[in-house]
Amino acid sequence: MIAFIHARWDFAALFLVLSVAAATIFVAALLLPNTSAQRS
Amino acid sequence: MTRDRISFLFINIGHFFDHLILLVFATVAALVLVREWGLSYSELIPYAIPGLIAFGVGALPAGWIADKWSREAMMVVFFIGLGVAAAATAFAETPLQIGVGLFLIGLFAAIYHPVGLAMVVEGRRRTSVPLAVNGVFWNMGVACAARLIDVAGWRAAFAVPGTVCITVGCAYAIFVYTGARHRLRTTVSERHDETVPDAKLTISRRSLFRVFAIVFFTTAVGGLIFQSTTFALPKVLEERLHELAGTSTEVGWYAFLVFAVAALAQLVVGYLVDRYPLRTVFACIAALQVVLFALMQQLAGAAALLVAVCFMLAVFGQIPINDVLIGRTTTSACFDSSSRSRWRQRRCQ
Repeated sequence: MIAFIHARWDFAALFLVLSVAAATIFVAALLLPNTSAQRS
Repeated sequence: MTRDRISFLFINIGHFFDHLILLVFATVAALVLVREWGLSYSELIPYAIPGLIAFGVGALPAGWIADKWSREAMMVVFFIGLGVAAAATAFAETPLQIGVGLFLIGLFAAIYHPVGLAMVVEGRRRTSVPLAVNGVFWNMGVACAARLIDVAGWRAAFAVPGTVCITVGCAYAIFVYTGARHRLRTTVSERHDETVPDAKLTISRRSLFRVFAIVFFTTAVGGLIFQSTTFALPKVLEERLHELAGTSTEVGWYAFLVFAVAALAQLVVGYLVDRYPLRTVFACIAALQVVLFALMQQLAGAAALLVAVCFMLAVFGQIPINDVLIGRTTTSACFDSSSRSRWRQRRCQ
């Protein structure tokens, strides 16, 4: 992916892709149950 | 120093070599081979792909063999195999030869995570800080990879750590051979007794599936971010730090600085996830990444360096979260009320 993006665009495009990827992780993290409340 | 501590030190050193040797090529390709072999960055990077695939796929058989055979023996194979593969790669004369060397490096490096990390968390009550300490070692490995080629050239950057890795592997083999019986008799049986009560979580089956799905997704996407940033950073710094770094030596120094500072993130996050809700810490780290990657798109010079340090802090900080999340979830699955059979407990140990 790095080679592909670097050859066609530049690292600005790579950071855009990474920013979107991190946004999906943010949403996924919010869907986690609250583990601190589940300790017995 | 007790045998447990010495063993922990060996495992940490293994993590250091795992990422150091794996990432030497990323720096070598970005800063040296582009000039020496007259190939572009995008032409050189594909030669690393077979090795990176081997690094990922090889983890499955490595973990299986370790369970069937011996984790300690597999760590000996890891140290010596990785060292030999790295030393052999130093003799590469063509891109194809270096590709073969990187494949072998990836194959042996794949042993570490399913085996070494299992040994780090084995029987511990609180796993976050040991995992974070272990993580600092691989961060330093990544940092040293960026520095090494400037000190001794690209061939030595493979040969020197390869040789040291073989030496450490021999020392570890002697350590395992002399103390295997002692360790089996004492630590394993005692440790498991103290692990069970603290690790018990009560998550419903439905929540468990949801957590597994999230863990799968965030680990995959997080892996993409981690590999992209660590692999590309030397080249990113070379392109964005024209004012600050005119030579490959200076770029190497800045890459070392970024990785070394970012290594601290694992300790901080390891501390935080033991004390605050995992979801909150995870969401904050992910939000930071979104903002920092977006900021980095057009930055150059000192501002780019500062943001690079910050996003690598966030990227490295996510690693212990994934490890702890997997550890807590699998422990919960093992000790859930519906799965208390001896078979399940044995499988999860």
